Amino acid sequence: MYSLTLAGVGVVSPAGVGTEFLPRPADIATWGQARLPDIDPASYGWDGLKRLSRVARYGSVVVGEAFRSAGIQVPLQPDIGRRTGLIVCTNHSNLEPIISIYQDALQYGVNHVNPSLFPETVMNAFAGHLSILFQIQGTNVTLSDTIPSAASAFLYARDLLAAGMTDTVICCMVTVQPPSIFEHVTHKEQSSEVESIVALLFRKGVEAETSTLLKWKEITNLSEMNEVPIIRPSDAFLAVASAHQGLIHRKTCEEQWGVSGRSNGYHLFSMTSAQE
Amino acid sequence: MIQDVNKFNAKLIKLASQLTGDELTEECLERPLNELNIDSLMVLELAVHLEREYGIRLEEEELSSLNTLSDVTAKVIGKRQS
Amino acid sequence: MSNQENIVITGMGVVTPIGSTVESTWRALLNGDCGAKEIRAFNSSEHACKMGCEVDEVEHLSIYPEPAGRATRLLLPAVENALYIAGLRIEPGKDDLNRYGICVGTTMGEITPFEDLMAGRRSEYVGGPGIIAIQAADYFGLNGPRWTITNACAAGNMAISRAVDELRAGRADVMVAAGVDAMSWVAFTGFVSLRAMTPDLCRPFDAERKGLMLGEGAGALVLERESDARRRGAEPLARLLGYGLSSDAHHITQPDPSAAGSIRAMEAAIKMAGIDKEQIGYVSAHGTGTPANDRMESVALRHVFGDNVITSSIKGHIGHTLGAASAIEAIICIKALETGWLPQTINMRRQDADCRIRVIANEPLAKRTDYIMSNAYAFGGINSSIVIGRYERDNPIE
Repeated sequence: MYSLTLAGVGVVSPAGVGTEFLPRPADIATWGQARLPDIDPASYGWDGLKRLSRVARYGSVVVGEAFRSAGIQVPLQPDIGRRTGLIVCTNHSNLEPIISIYQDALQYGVNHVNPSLFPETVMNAFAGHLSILFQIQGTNVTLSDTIPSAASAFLYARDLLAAGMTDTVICCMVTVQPPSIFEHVTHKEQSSEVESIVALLFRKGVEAETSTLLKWKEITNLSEMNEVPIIRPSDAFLAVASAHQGLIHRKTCEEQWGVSGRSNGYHLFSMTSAQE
Repeated sequence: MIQDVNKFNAKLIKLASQLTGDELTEECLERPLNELNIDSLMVLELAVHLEREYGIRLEEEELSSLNTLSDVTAKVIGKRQS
Repeated sequence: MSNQENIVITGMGVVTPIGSTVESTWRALLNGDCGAKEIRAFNSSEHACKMGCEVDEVEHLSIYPEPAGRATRLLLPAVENALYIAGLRIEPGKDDLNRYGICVGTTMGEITPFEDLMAGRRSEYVGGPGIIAIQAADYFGLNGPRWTITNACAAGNMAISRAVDELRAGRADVMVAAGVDAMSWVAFTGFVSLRAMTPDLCRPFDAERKGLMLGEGAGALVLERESDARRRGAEPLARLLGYGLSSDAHHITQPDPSAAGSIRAMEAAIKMAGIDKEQIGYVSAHGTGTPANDRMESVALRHVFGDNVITSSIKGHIGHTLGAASAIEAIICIKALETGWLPQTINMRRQDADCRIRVIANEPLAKRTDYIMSNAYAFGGINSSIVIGRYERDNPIE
């Protein structure tokens, strides 16, 4: 059993920005194939993001919200920034820019492609923009498993904190539908996914009222999952954000769920208030 | 042929405003690019837009010698006239 | 499991533009072979640059039984060689090895299907970065931890560092750490758009260097805890002593000219290795041949090592193989430790006076060393350094 203290959350989901309107973990699947709404980061107090791609703009908002809800001022001061890590899970966020490069080449010729497109075709551009905006200077990792794996991201975060390499780790999952032209050549276990971008801020040894304790373990005996709702791997971050919301507002005192994932194994998650 | 420097400058300021997301004005023409939050990648992007429109080619060394938007104007107009 | 557990490298395999095995690549490197040719993977006749370093006849590299993309084709032979050299006799398709894991680092991932579709061709297989590790794991039965790390041109070093973590945490007994990237139209066109590509040859640290040259290839290492490797009678090739990772938070494509992030990564790697910086006898530079990288890296190397550092980059030989680069370079470092020869930077005419470091130019250098550092940097401001040590069987370093 691994555990992490969750001190801050930021979400953009089909319900908009924030955790207030998230369904309980068990009910996320009822959203079906819901897409992200159009939001303007400026109306949430995040200016100067116009040059970023839509996904990076939204990512900036959710990471910003995660810092804000954890009471951490951004941009980070250098000594804090160097002790802060960032782990991003994303696997389709570079496909729109790939299409844009081809369109530019077709329209203007291969030597007149907009140079700002190429960096965005690289999977870790998203994390790069976030690191610059918030001055995150510690370990910065982008994971692109075909089946997004919350357990992998959390394990990485846990290792960084346990090894004393960082004091704070932001984990961020980007779930967006691939462009339709690529749909049949992308690997998916589920045909429909809820789009979301979720940032979770984990800190060492913080037991504030607004913190929760996340525990998880890999299970080999599937009967352990009989009593809990099973959610999709791509919703795993959303489930944590939702459970966190319920716990800090005392709507629940414990939340449990399982995450399926044929190729990444099965994981059992539970969350409680950090103070209990 | 770009005969009207003012017209070109207006276009350049509009382009640079789009890139930076800030409302730039004519007085920005003489300010250092980094003060306008225009980094090397944006200079390159600016150059590509101008190359597409005016059918010129700006070489790497030429780009790295640009310090202000006025330098860009001088370079592009010089290219068009040569 | 102790965090101090020694990690050794017991197997290695590469596929590069100048060799399909570690030995052939190593010989070609010391010989000064250069893989630069006109691009054949796609039509580059309209591009401002036309040269790249490709692996010959990738289409005939077909270990995987199902249709697979170019990256998977490049990677599987490298992994197979690495497992073979490690003396791990795995029967593909039959073994189910829950304590064997794999970390794959890649920049563009399996991009062939996406590029085929955009070019109006049919595509019959799955694309994306993660599919490469899935296919490699399926084929060799590596059913333990599986990671796909997409930190662009530092992904190979980061895959190695994650493999070390998994072994030290006791979550696996054998980890394959690999890097791979295939020649990609998007990457090629993208580097042209950034004007970061050389029109003729890649000349790291040269005064007149014009940029990088794109390459392709794969490198794979087998890592184990020393105690396990000894128990099963394996012959370790080298020690993986430490790594350091950091982020510049400076610019999406340009390195921080102050080199602060890269200095932090190097110092962290040396600290984890538990050695003094003076003991590092050679640094395998990222050395892409772009003006900005080589200048920044020189600043970082001088800051950390002063005047004494000896360095070189093999990107003149094989180009920039992106996510594969640091995996391949780690293997070259192991050969350097083993043979006492340090590989040279080729295509050097006159060293840049702004790069005030000692670069091995045009001829390999005979110098025995016990510790080597290998650097890799990436878009997004990523810095990574690893430290590899010679394995002395009868005189262990601890």
